[in-house]
Amino acid sequence: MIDGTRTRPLLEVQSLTKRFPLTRGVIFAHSRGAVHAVEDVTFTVARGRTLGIVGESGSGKSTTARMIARLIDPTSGTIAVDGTDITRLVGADLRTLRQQVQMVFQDAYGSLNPRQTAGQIVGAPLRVHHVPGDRRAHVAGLLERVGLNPEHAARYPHEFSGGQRQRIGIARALALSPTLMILDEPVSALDVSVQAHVLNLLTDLQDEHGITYVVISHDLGVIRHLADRVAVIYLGRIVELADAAAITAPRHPYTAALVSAAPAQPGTGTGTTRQRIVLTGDAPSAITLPTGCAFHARCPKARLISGDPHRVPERCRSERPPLGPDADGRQLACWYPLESGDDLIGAAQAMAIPVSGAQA
Amino acid sequence: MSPPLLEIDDLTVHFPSAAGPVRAVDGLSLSLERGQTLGVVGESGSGKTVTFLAAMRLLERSRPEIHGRILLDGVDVLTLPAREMREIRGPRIGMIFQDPLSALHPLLRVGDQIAETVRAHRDVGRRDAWAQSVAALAQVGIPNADERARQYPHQLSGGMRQRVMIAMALILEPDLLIADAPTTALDTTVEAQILGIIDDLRTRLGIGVVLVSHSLATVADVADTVAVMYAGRAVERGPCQAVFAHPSHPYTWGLLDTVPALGAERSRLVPIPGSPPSLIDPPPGCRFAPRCAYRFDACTRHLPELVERGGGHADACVLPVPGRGARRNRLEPPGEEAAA
Amino acid sequence: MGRYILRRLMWTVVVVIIVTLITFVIFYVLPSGDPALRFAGKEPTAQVLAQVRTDLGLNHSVAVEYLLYLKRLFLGDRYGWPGLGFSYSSGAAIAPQLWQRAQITIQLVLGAAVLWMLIGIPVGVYSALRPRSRFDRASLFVGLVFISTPVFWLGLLMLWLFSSTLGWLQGTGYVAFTTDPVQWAAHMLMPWITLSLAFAAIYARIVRSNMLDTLGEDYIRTARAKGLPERRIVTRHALRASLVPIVTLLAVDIATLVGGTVIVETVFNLQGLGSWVLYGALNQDLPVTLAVTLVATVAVCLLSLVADILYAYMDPRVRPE
Repeated sequence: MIDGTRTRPLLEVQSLTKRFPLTRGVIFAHSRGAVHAVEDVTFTVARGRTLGIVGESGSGKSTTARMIARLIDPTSGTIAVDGTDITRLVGADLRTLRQQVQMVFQDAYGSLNPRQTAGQIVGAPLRVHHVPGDRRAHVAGLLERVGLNPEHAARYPHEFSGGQRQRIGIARALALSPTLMILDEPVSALDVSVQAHVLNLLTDLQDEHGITYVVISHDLGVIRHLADRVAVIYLGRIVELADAAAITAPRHPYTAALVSAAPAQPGTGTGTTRQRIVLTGDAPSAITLPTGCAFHARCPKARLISGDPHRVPERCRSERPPLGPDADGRQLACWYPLESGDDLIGAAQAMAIPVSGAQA
Repeated sequence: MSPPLLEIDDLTVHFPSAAGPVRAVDGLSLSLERGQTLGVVGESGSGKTVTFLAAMRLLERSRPEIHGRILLDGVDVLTLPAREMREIRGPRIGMIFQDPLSALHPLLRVGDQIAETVRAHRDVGRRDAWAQSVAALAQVGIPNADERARQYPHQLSGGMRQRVMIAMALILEPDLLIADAPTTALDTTVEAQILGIIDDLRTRLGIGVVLVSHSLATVADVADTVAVMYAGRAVERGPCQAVFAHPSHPYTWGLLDTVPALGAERSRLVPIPGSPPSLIDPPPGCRFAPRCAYRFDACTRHLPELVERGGGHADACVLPVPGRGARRNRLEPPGEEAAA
Repeated sequence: MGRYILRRLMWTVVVVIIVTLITFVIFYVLPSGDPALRFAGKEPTAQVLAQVRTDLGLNHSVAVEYLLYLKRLFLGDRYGWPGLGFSYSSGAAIAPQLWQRAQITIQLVLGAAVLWMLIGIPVGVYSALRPRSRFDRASLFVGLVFISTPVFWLGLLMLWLFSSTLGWLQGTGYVAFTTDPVQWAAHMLMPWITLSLAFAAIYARIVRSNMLDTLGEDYIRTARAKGLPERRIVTRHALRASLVPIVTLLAVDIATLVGGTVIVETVFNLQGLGSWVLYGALNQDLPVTLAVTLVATVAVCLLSLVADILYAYMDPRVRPE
């Protein structure tokens, strides 16, 4: 293999944007605005590595995943897999891409055909892509690889437990030996005692086959466990992108809120009461995006800067902070990143009290 | 001494099935004092939800066989006639559910759904009930409450919907709030808001709260006492701090070890091997024994009862008490889940 | 909302054009012989035949005749607007007859619809509240009997029983409401019952299964958890949600019956649209067939629009913001 392809990232996403238009009209549809699902998202993932994308519902993380798997088409921007822009692929090239990039879904039960056996489900990609060889033996090998008994190939999805169904979904994704796997909330539908099995399986598969992962999750613990780098996404934009080890010391106030809400390490005897940064309100609408920083209306750090729990610095309201590297090489989109000693918990609590102060 | 607010005494709930009775709850005892929060933790199928649906007598359509007692202020709700039970639901016990979108009626305005709760139990006019429901929405931190009251559930965010459920459950000022996995369907930052609201209302109204969850970490933030359930039984029970910091049942250890936590050094997760037992034909002895890395002969011979180990901390494990913590650390982590 | 209705009405015009075109083509393509021959008397001369063709408007190609038909339809003809022409067989204008017959059919269909809803909904609800009970099984059995009984046989049976044998009700024919309300009802009752029984059975089964689904919903559990009386849970919470899909079904069924009550109208000698379209088809009377087809098409389009608007009224989730 030539060195150049080795060092080039397997996945390069550049200025990826997806807007879902809202239209109306009697005969001719005219645009009435758009849902800004994903806005100008840029990142790369090195071969055999894992990028975690963390964000809340409606943040655009699943839309990003689906664009990389070419399940939906981007409005603009490029997605390069192994140096090839996949956003314009059609026909045979698109079929090749479908072999290379596989997706594992959150709802394993919903993504498995209830009328097909586990063997048929796992063997379907082999059949569709005309993979030569003994398909039965291949399927048995795949089932064994994900920790299922190959003799259960004749069973139907409802005969398996939740964790086993997710293993079937993973075996199906593995069938075509993909180079890139998109894992969309791979364990969030599973009981905690089952999660660990699936997470360990995913780690093993990556170690053995050198598969590149993009993991989507709302659970920072899962992301921290699987990912090498973590992108935090808020209202369609990346607000912080850092090494997984560094994400526990966040610099963006939104990341800090996510981190404080994640389960602390339990059973250590260090006590239970963790201090959470409780954000006020909901994320703003993705149709009428706020001006300036999208997070400014809920940002406790902005209140620390202004010194008033009900005021935000002018800059946060009017200028959108660009995503750029800070001194440690993490990417950050914030005018006033966190400094040590910032009391975000206190600031967030102060924000929760209405201006009148009448209500307890 | 007055009785506890809620006392569940040797409760069993068996559902009929073609293969024999499903022992969803099998000999459970719990109690909760006024003004406190009881966290009930367990995985799906552990019986945690069934227990509290039984307390609300909401299981009757499934025709279960229920034994034992569920005492609310000393009165066994299982023996109450249906008419009196209806006066328990709402005025005495409020309940909120996992998925607020499906728990709210999609065709009715949220204000009307709250107002009808008031009018079903109190002799108030339509306008008065509406005003009360708007006030209740404001109390759970919904801005522009009078406008929101006129909206339908699908027009609200997930966090707003769960606030509506809380307002609805508490509008009649019950003594007990049962929250069945209220934050599972919500984002983590919204989860913090919802738990904060529940805790705030508990201290302000002096009510008892049962917080059911599949995550010990979620419960740990707000609960005073915790019960860990496995296969229809409580395997560990005690003050939240004690259970969280010094868990004494191997299943609780497993639950805590298996969660990928922030801040920890990234290492291979230690899963609990195997899968939960059949509730129709449970294993002999301790229900957890087949998956337990520390089992010995005695475990499969008899079913261990909860035994108090001091400070209100009890567990149902036959493992000798001395050196229990040391044993946990000394033993090798259990192996991978056996192939299915 | 206004834009939506406007767009749907424009679609109705498109559908009318397509449906009439299909009717036209079927009429000309069917190997039933030359309609002019039928109306030209016995052994006509070529000249008479040509004259009849011109009179009936059959002297051009199919395409030209269809365009002429559309032109008359949208711009009106010598009988006024819309231009529906005259009947080949009677020579009388279509429009006045159409009106008269439509009134009878609409009375028949709406009356039957009210009846089958009054039977179907309570039976369905009661069956759902006590599934597998004796009542549920009995209603299923009786319903199956009604669904599988041929309508003409049911009609004749009723005539024999209530009119000939018992003499409780009037026989066949139609008396206008304005002439004598009692006689009107006495004449319509049997047709209503005959038409509605099968529908009542079907609606009872649909309401039952919708109710059973709804009663298993989480929001019903919530309603119980807040201590609402069972009666209110059934009516306000469960029934309301169960009836939303029924609205669409009802509108389509009513619209379909407007042009399709052939058997009931024939058995009870009601001069409605159903018996007329049968007459038109048997006698190669193209304008009659076209007129009834047109009314049925417009009824389907308009009633489904009404159903969609009602649906949006009943279900806030499909309302435009």
